[in-house]
Amino acid sequence: MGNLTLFMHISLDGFAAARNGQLDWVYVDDEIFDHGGKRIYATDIALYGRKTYELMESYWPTAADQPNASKHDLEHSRWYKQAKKVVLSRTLKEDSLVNTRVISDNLVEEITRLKQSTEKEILLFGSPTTGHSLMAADLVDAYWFNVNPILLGSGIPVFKDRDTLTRLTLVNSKVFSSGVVCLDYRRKA
Amino acid sequence: MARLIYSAICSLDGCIEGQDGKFDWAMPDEEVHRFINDLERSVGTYLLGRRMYETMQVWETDPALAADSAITRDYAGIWLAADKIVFSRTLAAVPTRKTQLERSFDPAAIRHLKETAKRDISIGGPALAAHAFRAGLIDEIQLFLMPILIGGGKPALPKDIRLELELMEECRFGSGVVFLRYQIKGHNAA
Repeated sequence: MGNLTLFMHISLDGFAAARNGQLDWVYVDDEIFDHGGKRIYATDIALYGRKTYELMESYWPTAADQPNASKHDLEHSRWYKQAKKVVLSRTLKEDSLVNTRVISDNLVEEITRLKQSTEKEILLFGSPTTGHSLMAADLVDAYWFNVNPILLGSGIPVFKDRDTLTRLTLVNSKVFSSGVVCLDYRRKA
Repeated sequence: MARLIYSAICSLDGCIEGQDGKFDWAMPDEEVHRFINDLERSVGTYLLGRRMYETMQVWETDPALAADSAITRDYAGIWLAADKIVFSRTLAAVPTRKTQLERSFDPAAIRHLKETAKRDISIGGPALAAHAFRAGLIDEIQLFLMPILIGGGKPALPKDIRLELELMEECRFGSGVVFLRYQIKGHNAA
């Protein structure tokens, strides 16, 4: 059964985006792309909330066709186009989308079925609001964060208040030359 | 010039204590405690909010705590030797030695302290530290991230402070605790 992992670039004070959804503070470079790529390209189902999905759709399908396409543009675009995308949204309509399924209801049932359909990891990319819903429904198995060396002070929080305690196992930590720290946790059984 | 360091032990979801005021999950094990002792050896002055002082004063008022192990004895020694300044409008008196009581946080006084102190200054908890953050006085952040999500509580870091940081150190412990040390950008180490 596949595990569901939250994968986010976050600030040290626990925000996934600045107040207006701004991501200009997120630092990524080849070192970070390469490290992430190994794990991302081992998956074939990608989960998103609507806003992050629309952001991805506005760039990745044609990123490889740009005149100055980088190595990362080529690799990630190739993976993105073939990945089975699943979007959690009450408003998006599936028929207009490419290689994408929409889950609008029955979250627990649908995500459980999705986990049962694969032995591979399922990554939720960004999508902090969707992350809140998944955590509230107790569906998140792991947390994979790139902690940026910044305090934002406000924004969209990674975690929302819940009346529950979750013990974690630190699977790995990695320091990038930029000062971004990758932290990898799995929920304790 | 002395560095002003904000140090905290928090959950992965950024809380120093839960909604119920409990923080038993934040207790460092021997390995982490030994590391904390070495880290705090350079501290000459502790700036403490009332709650933090009430939590920490036991290192002096409860000899059994210090006597518990070589590690706790070591830490007690560090705490007792340091100067303490407690910031509180409500505390009547401070029962511990080398402890001064101040009624308000005066950034100018702290700036003067930084200029004259020979050793590092540590500040805690988060409410008091927020004053120092707002005044641009914090030079370094030291966080111990516990491998736990507690679901909400008192945040370790201040609201509405945007600051760029530089990672100075990262350390990982057997229990899954991660230590991260950051310098505030522009606040170069003395």
